[in-house]
Amino acid sequence: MQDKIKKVISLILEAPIDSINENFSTESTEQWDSLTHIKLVLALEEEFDIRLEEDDIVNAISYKNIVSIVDTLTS
Amino acid sequence: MKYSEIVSSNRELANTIQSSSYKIGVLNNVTVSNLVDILEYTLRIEKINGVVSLGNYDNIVQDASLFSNNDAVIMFWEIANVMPGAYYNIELLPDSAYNALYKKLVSEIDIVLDTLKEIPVILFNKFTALPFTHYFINENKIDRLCTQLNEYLEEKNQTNLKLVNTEKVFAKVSIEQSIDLRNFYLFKALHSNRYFIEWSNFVRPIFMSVSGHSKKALYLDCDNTLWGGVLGEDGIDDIKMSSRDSTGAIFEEVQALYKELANKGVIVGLCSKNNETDVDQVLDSHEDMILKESDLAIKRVNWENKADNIKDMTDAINIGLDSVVFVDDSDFELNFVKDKLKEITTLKVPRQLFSYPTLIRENMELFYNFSMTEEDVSKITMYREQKKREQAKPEFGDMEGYLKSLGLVLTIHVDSRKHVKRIAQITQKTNQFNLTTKRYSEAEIEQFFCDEKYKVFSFSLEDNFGNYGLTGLSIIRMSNEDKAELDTFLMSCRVIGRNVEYAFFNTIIDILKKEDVKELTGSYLKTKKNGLVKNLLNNFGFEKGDEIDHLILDRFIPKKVDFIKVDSL
Repeated sequence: MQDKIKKVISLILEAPIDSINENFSTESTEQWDSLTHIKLVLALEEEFDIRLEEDDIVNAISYKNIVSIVDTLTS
Repeated sequence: MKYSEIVSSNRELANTIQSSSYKIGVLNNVTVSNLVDILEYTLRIEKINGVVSLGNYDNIVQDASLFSNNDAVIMFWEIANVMPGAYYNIELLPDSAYNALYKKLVSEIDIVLDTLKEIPVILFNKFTALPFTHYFINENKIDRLCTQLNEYLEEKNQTNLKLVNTEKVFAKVSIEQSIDLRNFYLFKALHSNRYFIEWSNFVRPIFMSVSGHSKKALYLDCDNTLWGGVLGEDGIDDIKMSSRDSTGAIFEEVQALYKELANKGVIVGLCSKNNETDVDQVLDSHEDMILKESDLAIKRVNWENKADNIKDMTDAINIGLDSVVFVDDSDFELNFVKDKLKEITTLKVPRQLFSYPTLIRENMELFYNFSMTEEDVSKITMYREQKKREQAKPEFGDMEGYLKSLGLVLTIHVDSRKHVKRIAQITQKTNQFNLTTKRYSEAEIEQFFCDEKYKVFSFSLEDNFGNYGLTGLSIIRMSNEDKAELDTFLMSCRVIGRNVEYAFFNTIIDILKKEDVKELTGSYLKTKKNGLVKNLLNNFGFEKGDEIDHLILDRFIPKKVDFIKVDSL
């Protein structure tokens, strides 16, 4: 699951897969802004066939958080 | 296809695609960021290198000027967001405020359309409040506002403006799958990825048309394609094509659709394994035939293989195989043809006959023509006249004699304003006899008329059999006092092979000499399709240079073309 998440993030944010780690977030990544955020959310929802709540969308601002959110919604 | 797959495929295509960028700007007052990859991908798989840039959110009027040099601009101007909370506030506006809002929007529309009046294509989504009002029986104020704004747009006489009826896209996708209100409330992103995909598919024919990629010819089999049954076995009395029975009704309907295409200028032809006289008898005398001899530009009804026939027909009308669509009911025929002629598009008559008309409707926009002109509508007449010319050919032993017998008359026009639409169209559609393949919009051609530095030469051709219409163009740019540059030299496929290009060029040189031009430069810009004119400049007498070719006008020796009478207007 983590690999799939990294793949989607890498594709949408145009970031190298190796750079996606515990510290990867909207703070650390210049191209992760509000426009790319919505692209990312929609792509993750489609990939895992899940639907994020409003809180989830607001909190999905780091790789760590995304893993936790996707994990919760897919179990 | 998943959105992430589209993004990744789009990136790959961006790296490998050969054609130059087709720049599209999107002016918007809602978030449409996902449209970028989706629209680019939709165009790139058709070999159009669409590059989409978004204007700043809710800065439609301000950002219009950013795109005044683009190839196309798309308007995603949502009524839902024309003022804060428009989708619920408009209902509560008193009349005075409603009228003020209408006036404001109309003046903004005027500014935007004026700023963009020179670009080739503006795709303007018609205003609709459907996502918010489809629950209600009566028309709401916001619906009324959309209707008024759309009426205003429809009355605008701007030739580069194309209104897109997005309600058709909603109808296809469903409102539920088109609109995600969660995303609208959070990010002002009204439309779903699914909507953007279907919207892009819906407008794709427009882009295909303006970049010369739309299909031009439709070839039809006969048995079980135009009528139910096999003519050779069932006989003329038992083939079915009338609504008197359920099978015949289907064939009557598809014939009507094919006739509709013929009326719009699509070249419709027959390619059937049958005795020619049998099929002619059906065409001439069967009272239920909707498609008639006069609708058909060309026929190959014989017992040869269909790939050879199709190649032959396509060469005869001087188009590319990639402009052809072929319909047949036989897997064998379709596979055979597709195997030998990879570029053509094939359609199979479905086994479930009730799906046949739908299949045709789904594919009619392959022939979409962005700017219909009189030439398009009278094209069938021209191809019929061409049929007559071909029938006359065998009488003459030699080409010269034959060409002389045609009685060709070439009429040259210079900076002819009344032909501006056709001139622009011919730059967009001509791929083969085209030296530099520069595509121009009507506004750009108008510009050339006003600019002293440019001379726009065009010609109309007719002969004893009929009128070909305006079929050739050359744009000359004066660089300084006595030098000029050949920016454009092209001719429609229908007039190739008659040495008309020489008569045209001779006249152009005469006129340039009178303007004291001493030297003309030019170059051949190679494309996949214009190998035909590889040696044109050489044939005209240009000397080859390192980067460009030169012609010293004093040394020009005109090629003799006395079987063509030239009228200069």
